[in-house]
Amino acid sequence: MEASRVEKIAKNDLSDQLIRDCQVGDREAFHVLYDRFKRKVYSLALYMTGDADLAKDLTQEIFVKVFRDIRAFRFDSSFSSWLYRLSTNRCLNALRNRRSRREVAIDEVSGTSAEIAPDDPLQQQVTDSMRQAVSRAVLSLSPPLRAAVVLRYVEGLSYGEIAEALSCSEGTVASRLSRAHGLLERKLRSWRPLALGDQL
Amino acid sequence: MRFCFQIVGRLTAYCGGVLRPEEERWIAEHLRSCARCRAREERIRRQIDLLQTLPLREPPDRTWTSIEAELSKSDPFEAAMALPPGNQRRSTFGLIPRRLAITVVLVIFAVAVFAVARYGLRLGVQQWELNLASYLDLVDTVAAATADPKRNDFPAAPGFMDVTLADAKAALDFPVISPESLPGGYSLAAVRLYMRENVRALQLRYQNEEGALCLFQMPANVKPSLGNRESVQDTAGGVQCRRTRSQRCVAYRFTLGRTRYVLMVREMDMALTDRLIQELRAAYEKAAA
Repeated sequence: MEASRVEKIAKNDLSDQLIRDCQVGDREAFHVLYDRFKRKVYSLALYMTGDADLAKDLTQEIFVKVFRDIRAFRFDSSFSSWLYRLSTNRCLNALRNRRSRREVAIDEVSGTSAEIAPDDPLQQQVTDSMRQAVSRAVLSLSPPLRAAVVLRYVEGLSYGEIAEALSCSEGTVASRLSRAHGLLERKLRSWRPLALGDQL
Repeated sequence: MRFCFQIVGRLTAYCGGVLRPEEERWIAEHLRSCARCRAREERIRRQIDLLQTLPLREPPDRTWTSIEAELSKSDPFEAAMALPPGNQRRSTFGLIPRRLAITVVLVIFAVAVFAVARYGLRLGVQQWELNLASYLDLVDTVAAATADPKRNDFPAAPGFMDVTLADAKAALDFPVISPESLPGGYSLAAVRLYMRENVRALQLRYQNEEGALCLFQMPANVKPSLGNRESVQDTAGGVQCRRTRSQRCVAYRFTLGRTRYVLMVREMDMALTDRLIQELRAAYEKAAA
């Protein structure tokens, strides 16, 4: 991988040239693009579906589609917006088409915090417990509300970027987030963070 | 002074810092004076903090390998090289943009509908029309203006050129007849050839002491037209034909084998017409044999 590309990735800067390289079929550029966005796409799929296997399949499908359709990208919006729109639509379709809901493994979705506080088992347990509760609450939302929440708080998109990804207005995004918070409040009311030193 | 119901729906956006400064200001004012809304705001902020603890997750290591394998199946890299940029949708025809394909299909359909409406459904053979309506008008005009009807009463039809009989036969690809003489003392006086696009036709002018007649010949895929003039079904010389009258001329349209004929005479003389067409029929049969 070229050093300049690695630097750009490190700086969170995606150059137009990288996209153009992908558009002419540069495999190495595809790999760079994948590395740049793999966590965002996989996390979106994971928090949207609550299923690690399905999220992996969706990630694969999304990137294959991205690489096949990347010639259609015209630079009239940011690449990430284009990618998020494609990814969100694919996730929503998958949820629509999924007839029998698979068992959701919350611990797989929220992960463990061993990497955050490896030396403090109590803190780790608190964090894991909290993430599981939050993940469960998010998964209880309807897919459109869930998408808005995941894009806003996990992916860190602005209201405008979410509106573009969901093909709706910013007012709709605000309305969905507001409704989502109302519903999450009931779900998370019982969960109370433990202060350090409290007994589980 | 704002009420709580005006605030509640905006609290999430307020906490997200995406409101206009003016809105932000009056919500902040309300929050200073309303403990209930302050509690709501506090709960939303706590939720946001919790939601933001959800980490981005790493996909399994094998994911890229699976993607590469999938890409190699249909080799989109080569497809990406072949396709022009900017086309978002593609048809099942591959390289043709869907909109262009639809437009082409619609145009072809419209042309087909027009052609069927205009020319009828004639499969296999291209049909042409040789319009002799204006020629009949010309013949009438010339006859009316000429004191001596023996002179030039069947001039060359528009588009026809005087040629030798040998040149005409060499240029025509359908059976033609060219008797030197016809009943009534008519003898061949002029040979004219029409050649435009794919239409070929022959005009023969016969002359006797009293006047002239002319005979058009054309292949079966060329239909002679005499405009909107009324025509009647008739039989002359044992051949079915359509008879059309103009002011100073009578035209008989008939077919012998693969050749269509239009015989034009000055006067309607059934006996002479019978003999003329019989002679033409005999000449055709002889040529065909």
